Amino acid sequence: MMLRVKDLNVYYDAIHALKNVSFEVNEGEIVTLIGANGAGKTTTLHTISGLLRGKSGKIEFMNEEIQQKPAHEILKMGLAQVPEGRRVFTHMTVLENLEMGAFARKDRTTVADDLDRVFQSFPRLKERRRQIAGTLSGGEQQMLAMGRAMMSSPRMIMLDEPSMGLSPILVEEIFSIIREIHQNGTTVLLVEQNAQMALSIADRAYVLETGKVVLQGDAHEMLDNQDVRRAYLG
Amino acid sequence: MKKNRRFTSLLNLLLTVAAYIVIKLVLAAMGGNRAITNLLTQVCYNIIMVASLNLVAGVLGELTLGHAGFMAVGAYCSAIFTSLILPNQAWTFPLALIVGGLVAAVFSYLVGVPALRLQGDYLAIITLGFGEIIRVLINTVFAPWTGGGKKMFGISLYTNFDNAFWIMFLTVAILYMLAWSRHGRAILAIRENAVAADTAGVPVTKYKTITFVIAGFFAGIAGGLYAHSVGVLDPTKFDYNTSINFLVMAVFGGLGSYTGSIAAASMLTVVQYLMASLVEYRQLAYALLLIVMMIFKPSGLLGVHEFSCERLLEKIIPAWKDFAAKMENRLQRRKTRSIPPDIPEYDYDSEKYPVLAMKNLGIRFGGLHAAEDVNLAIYEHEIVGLIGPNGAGKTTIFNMMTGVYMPTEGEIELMGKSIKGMPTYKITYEGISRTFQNIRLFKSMTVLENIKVAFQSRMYYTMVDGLARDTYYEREENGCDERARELLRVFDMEEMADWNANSLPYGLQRKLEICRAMATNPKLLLLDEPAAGMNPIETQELMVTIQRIREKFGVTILLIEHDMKLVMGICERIYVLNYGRIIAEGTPAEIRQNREVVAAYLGDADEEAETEKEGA
Amino acid sequence: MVTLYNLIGGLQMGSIYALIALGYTMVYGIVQLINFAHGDIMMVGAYSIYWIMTTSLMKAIAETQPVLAGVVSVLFAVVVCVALGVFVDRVAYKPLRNAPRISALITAIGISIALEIIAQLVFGSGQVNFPTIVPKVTLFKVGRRSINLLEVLTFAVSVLLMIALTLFVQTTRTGKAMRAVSEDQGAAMLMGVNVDKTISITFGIGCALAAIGSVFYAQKVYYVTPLLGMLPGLKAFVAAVLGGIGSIPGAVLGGFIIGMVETFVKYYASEYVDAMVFGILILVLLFRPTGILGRKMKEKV
Repeated sequence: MMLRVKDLNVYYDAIHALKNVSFEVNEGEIVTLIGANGAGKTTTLHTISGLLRGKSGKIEFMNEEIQQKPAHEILKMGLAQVPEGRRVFTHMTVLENLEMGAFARKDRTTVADDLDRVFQSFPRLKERRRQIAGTLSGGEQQMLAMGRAMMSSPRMIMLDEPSMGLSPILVEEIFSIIREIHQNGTTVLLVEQNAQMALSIADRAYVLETGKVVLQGDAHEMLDNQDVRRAYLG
Repeated sequence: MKKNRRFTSLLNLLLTVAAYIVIKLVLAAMGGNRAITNLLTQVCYNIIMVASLNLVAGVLGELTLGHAGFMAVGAYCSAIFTSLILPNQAWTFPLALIVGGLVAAVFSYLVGVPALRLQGDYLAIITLGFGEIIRVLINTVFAPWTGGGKKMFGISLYTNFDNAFWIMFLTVAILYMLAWSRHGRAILAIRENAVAADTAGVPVTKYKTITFVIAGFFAGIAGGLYAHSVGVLDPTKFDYNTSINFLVMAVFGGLGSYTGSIAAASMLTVVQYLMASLVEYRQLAYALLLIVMMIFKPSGLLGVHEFSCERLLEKIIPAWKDFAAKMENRLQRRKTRSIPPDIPEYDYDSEKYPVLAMKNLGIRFGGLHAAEDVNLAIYEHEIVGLIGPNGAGKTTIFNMMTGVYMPTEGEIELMGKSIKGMPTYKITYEGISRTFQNIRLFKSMTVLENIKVAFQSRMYYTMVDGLARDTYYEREENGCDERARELLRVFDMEEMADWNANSLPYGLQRKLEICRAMATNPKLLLLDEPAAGMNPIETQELMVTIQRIREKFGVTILLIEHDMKLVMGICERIYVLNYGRIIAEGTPAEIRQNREVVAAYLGDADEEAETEKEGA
Repeated sequence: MVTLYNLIGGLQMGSIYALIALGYTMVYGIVQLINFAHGDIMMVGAYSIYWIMTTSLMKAIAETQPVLAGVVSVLFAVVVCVALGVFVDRVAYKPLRNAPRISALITAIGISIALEIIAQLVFGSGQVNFPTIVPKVTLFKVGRRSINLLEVLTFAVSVLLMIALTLFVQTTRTGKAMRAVSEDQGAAMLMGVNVDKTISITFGIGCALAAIGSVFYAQKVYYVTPLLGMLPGLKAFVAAVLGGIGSIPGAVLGGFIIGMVETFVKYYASEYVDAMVFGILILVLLFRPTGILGRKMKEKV
């Protein structure tokens, strides 16, 4: 078991944002969390990565409880997150952004190897490595955000709405890169609005609705399930 | 406020009179103790100071650190008036107070005009600097009249507890009444979300300045009372620390609450009096109080709430509510006619001009072209889509249409009339209304009030009408209330009228934003990613809503959207934007066939390999 | 001659303002807070030196080893200011990171007053004499204007520190972390940056610079009062805004401009100096709200 979330409850002031959310991600899987906006997907990811604190419940990563750990320690354990809206450092260069991704690592040589690997996956970033990140297009920024997260050499990567605001053509490209990341041995937890796309590449899926897990199961079965299609895929 | 509540007002007046009589009796019983009388007088002008500071810092939400400066202006001006200009006449004192208030208002206008164009922190610094500048001026330029660094002596002691008390009452009543009018709503809306207020037709800078000037006026009045209470003026008494003292009181009472201001000013003024010999410890205690309050109870004693004796009575006496309602009915004047907000008539030659035309429009941000050579025309009654990859400049185009950005080249015409360079609220008035990608509601206001703010530019009663609660006020407020509920009914949201906007679920928040945009009665409605964050079912409903709006209101719609099902489903024409340029225009079918669009944006699911190479 | 005379004075004051302005600008850059207490931290630095130089041990050292005593006392001031700055941040500002900005600003005002009053209670409200750390020695003459050690030292040390700071922020790991946090705290956390530590370091650096600024300032005026930091603090803040708040070169540029303006205005009409400085602030904010070198920070619509 790579990640286990058990009975997680999160509040924003008085709003009960997550209600007893439980799910699991096994090593080597692509798992997706889908659901409408406000369902609690981003809240879930932020609580796992330590940006938010839950009120109760347990989060285990690699069999270690992490719900009380600060974000920077969780990252060091090998759990990276690509935040919603990319959030690259717009005033830094592409290369500096990637270096920030490796901030927690001490070992220079393996970092250099990983940089090469990221440049291989994202040749466009290599071309633009001296460019200020703020001048990149939306799609390039998404790639940079993903490359940046890969620079921490994570065991597991959590992606928050990588397709958001991208043209259909770029969504395809981003998803093929997610597949590639997965094939290279990184476990993936994918949060998406675009349920159709997400289910098509995931092994298993959880559906969130107003802070609760309302449905879970095999991604391909879900894609074929009429009820799910009606409710979430249109 | 739902109704003009005469009974409540009457009750408050009676209570005030009662309080006044009790204080007078207690004072008489104490044999007219001078020290206590002076202390109570001081409480009165301090309440004026704190309440007026609360108007800016609490209600408008802008921090000002030079409030004592305006008090100084009022104090010196009124003192000069009573001792040099018109001494010893029957009307000397009231005139002097008004003169002091007016001059202070002029000064706050001069400070406010530059400062209020900026964001919060800078206003704080500018007002702080102003306070210092005032002291320099009193010591130098105005020294012949003010006595300069030496004090100004021999000011007649016109202020007594009685006039201070009633002036205080009047001030608080005015500030309070102001809050419950269209003008008060506009000010609150600015605090909640200035950008949204602007697009709802509220002239933001104007209202900020007015608020600031009103606060300055009352600080000047308080200064006049102060000057004629102590008889001596010393410029060092109006320094930064004095401003901070008032700020502490406002914070302690709860920024945004007038009753909190009154309570805190009364309590802390008395504390100040009791600790007069321990100034340093008091100041230290104040400083620590500020810090501790901000960390543990930033809302102060009362937060933004007002204490209401009616609510208290309802709790204590069960039958009170019915009684109050009965009294209210009896006191209500016969039902006034209601005048709904104006519905503008857009009179233009629709044969000759499109609703909106952009001609060779472009904008540059620091050398970078965010949009270039954009030509588009939207015709009467159309639903038009604007699509394109992220960062293509779609929202930039909306921002130019609504005056948020000033185009650097080209021309924008609304119904044949140029709107380039107009401020946002005027463009709203002229007939463009919009929603935002990230929802911008007035969160702590109710659903109904959110709508009412948008009627701002279609209503006419003045601030004075609002204060007097005259028939103009009543007719328009009734009309505005009715129209707002009507509009909510169209959107199936009537039963949520009194909910707080931020308690609505996401989908309804989006709907409310559209509803608010419609309240300005636009000719052209701009929707910025209305389906963002909606699930397919909600998106379906949204498509129906959009079409219904067009039929019902005869409005023309331009929308930005990534959801192709929505765009292809309801748009009659589509413009495609890429790198700030329009690369295609046509019907949904044409756009789907357009090779350039497919390559840059839509892609083709079957030819993944190819599209991966091309990218955007 | 008058111009030259004022030019040198302006450079000296400008260096001091620049040092203090750097603290404002760095803290603002990272937590978007105008640290109203920054000028008072500087006052604490001056009192620290005053206090340690009155101890008998330091008096003894000062007699035989004046340079050593000077260096030790300055280091002491730096340590006190850094500790105080970090403490204030942890206790008063940290709980308010997600609160409305007006709350943090009011807290900062509270801290500022508290520090002033505490100093008043400990050291009295009057002036105390600031000890001689930098001896009054004339080094050389330009025309008829003699230039003393303090002036040269103020300028040289300030410029060196500014260069060092720029290199630090641009090239080191911690510097990058600071830039990352100032741009997006959440994203920086996701990179494994310890945000609290980074903010503390920023406060620490700002306060260290303020401590050094306080030495030069107090040495120039030769006294310390509880309100010592108030005016220089405000002017340095004006300098930071003028240069573009959040920008390091901006703070330096703004500092020198304010120093120059002040020195020249003082020469002709001393009573208007303060009014003049705030007048400049208002003009700048009117015509270029982001300052000379500031980045455009328009709210995204």
